[in-house]
Amino acid sequence: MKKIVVNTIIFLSLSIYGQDSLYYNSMKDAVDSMNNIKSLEDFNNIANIFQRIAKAEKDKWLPYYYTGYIYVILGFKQQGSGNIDEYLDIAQENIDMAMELIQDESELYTLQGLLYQARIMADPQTRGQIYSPKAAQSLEKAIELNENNPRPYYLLGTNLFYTPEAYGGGLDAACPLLRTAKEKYENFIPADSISPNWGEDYNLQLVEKCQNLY
Amino acid sequence: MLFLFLTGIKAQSFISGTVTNRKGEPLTGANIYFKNTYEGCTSGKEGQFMLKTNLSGSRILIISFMGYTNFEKELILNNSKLDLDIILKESSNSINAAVINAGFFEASDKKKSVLLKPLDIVTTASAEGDIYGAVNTLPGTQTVGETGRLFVRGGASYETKTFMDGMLVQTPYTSRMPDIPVRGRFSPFLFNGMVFSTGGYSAEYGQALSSALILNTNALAEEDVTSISLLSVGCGVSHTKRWDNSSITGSLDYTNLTPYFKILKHNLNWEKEPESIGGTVVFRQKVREEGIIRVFSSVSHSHSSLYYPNYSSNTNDLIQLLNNNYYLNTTYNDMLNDKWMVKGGVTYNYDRENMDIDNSYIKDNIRAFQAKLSLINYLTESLSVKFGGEILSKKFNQIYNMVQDSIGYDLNFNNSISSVFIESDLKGGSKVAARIGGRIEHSSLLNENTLAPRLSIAYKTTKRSQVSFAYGIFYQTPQDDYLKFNNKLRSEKANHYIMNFQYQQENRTFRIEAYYKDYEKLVKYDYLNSPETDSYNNGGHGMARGIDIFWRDKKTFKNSDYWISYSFIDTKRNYENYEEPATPTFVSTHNLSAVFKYWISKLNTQVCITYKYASGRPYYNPNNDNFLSDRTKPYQNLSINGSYITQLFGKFTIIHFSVNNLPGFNNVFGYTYSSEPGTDNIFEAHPIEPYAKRTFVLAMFISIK
Repeated sequence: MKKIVVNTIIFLSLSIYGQDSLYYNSMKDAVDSMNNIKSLEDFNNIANIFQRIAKAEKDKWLPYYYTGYIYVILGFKQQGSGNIDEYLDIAQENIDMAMELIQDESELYTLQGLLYQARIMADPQTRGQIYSPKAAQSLEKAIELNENNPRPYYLLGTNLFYTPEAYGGGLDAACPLLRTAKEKYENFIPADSISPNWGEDYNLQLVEKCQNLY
Repeated sequence: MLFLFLTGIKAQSFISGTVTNRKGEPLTGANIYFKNTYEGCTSGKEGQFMLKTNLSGSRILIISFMGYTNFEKELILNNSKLDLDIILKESSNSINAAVINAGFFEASDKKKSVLLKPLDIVTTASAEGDIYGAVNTLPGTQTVGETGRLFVRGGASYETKTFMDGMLVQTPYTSRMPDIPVRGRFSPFLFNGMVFSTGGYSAEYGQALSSALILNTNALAEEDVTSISLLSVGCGVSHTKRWDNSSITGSLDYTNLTPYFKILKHNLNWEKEPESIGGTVVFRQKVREEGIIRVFSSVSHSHSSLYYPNYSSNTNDLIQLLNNNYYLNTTYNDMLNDKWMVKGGVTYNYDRENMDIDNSYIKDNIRAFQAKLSLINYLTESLSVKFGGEILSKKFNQIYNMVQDSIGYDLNFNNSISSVFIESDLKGGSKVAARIGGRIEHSSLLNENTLAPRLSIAYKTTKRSQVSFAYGIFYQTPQDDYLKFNNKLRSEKANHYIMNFQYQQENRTFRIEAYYKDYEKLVKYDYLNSPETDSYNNGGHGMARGIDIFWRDKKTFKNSDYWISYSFIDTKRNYENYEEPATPTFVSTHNLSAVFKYWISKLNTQVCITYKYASGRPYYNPNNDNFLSDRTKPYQNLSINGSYITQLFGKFTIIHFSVNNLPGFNNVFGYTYSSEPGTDNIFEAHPIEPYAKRTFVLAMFISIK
């Protein structure tokens, strides 16, 4: 049932995007390839595609959003190399550009929260204190802007999942959030097929771990 | 479909080529595209690319890559086949670019290539939570255990100045009882960054002959939090409130060493153990997009009294010490537009110190005011100019009354130092960075003008290593204790020459720095506190040369971090009441510090061990005709601390302990001699020793969010 609804919406939005079909089609191709990535080079390649669309369109926030998203992911993949910040700086530039184009977008605050979580990875001991509250604030703002968005719950939950109990993390704290995220994912219908729609699979894996351990 | 259809009827152009850096290394993943179009591709493993396009006419091709400056080229497309070899220039903002670093130790949360971070300070064992104690594990510093102050590269402690957000701090240390080490007045948690400069620093800073410790405070507090600290020597409470664009933190601290000295085995004879109370308010307001107003205000009161041995009367003098200190520091930083940045600030400092020695007393009153404004113009990506001016005005008053010598004075002076400075930062691509500047100062009291040029150059030898050079002239007005008797003195002067090599790879850093310093116009006097104006002159001079080595490694051992500092120094000076050039009493030829930190994740505990060694220091021995030729035995210290992180009643809690000098090495800092020779015609020596063989701290910090 859910799939049918989604397809209908995609069909409807396709016609809305009629005059913008080059934008829409290119974005859809890029988003599809992003969901089927096999190597780091693919990431880079797709980030470049989003970047080109962003630069050409100028007034669309989504291509900046995806460029930023991929650079955050690339940042996470640099762990231990000391280059994390170089990637995250570029991600931040893209998020800033997107924020200028659209105000109060829950997905952007979610991505900002993810970026702060990545900043912590570069130096957990020193940065935890500064960026943990920043990440939490961004994600809470994302929930405030759209309480149906599952991703901020998922990121809050994931963060607690990997935080030791002494620092206020642990399964007791994480699992309720991950379960809420699961419910929200089940009911979540993206505005169209190029809108953000990531995180569900990994959230499910963590929810399963929650069940196994209880 | 539509897209495919369109491509069928248009003429195509082919552009192929390679993207490399200036060394000819291929760049994989560069974005190659036509401006304002979707059309482009990504360079492959060998930097190669191949772009097919239906565009025609004049188009701009852009090549962009992380860490490099964008390359743009106009192409005429008309069924063309083009082959391009593109060479990208490394951006001067790239993390691999050369940076000015001779004479610098930078600690920050923000910067990428720093050597020490604020948290590193708090967790260094021998430091016991004191900023100066932690800086004392860096090369270029001397271990002078009985003072707690910083002595840098042959310079006395007054030659190192502390700056907070660019503004001079007049009284950075707590007041001092004889032979008891002082501490910094500020908590390390106030700061998010620190630059410790052992010489050759920026023209923005004046009035420091040897060294500058530049502390940068935190911006807005992140969130509402209440913190409680319980220590073996006192307690504190602080509360932070955060609004959208502003935050305020208020804290109160109380210290009382009475219980501590009751338990501790020590050699002091207190009448009243040190007790102090202090309050701090930190306010932050965000202004416009990037502007911030910082207000820091602290007030403290402390008192103590001690029986101190007097070797001329063979009795104990009762020394009573009382100190009141107030400090206000307000600064404003903002970007006026893309090109201009403004930084300004005002500070006010009031310090009153009363020292009673039996029926005699010394009462010091210092009021200091500073205003500073600087502008930075970012002309291009590789050129910026900073210029500004400041006024530093100081009122000094001392009432001095020695009953036994029936000497009494009321000494005053006012000095205003007006300065202007200009400095330019240049970057030659990613390879070369240079900073050229100068500073002019005028002192109203001395009626003297000084000109101090400064120069720093860094050259990147490989991706991970660079060599740097720094030169500068530094002036400092003579110390208050001389100016109060003689205002015709000149500023003391030092010339610095520094060569530095640094190698940095991921989490390992190696630095070696050689320096030569040459001192002129140091103050000499006939005897300490001589009231005669004529007994003071600028006839002193000196030199210092040495090598500082630093190695830090966060990689080799899992969950651990260690650094080793070694300093060799050869220095002589003829100043104060020296009979001839000699190595001063605060200098050890060899200084070694090793700091090792280990995180035990199972126990949520971080432990730190520090070891310090300093070769023997010169001391004055009246029984020896050769001036300052005696040496103490070497100094050794092994300290350990641990921080355990846990939840107490659901609140984030840190439990911390530290033991200083765990093995109980017997250290001697120097000797005091009886003022009259004994019956055997020999002056009797009295060692200056730490007040306790081992000291310890136990503390608990609780955060309530």
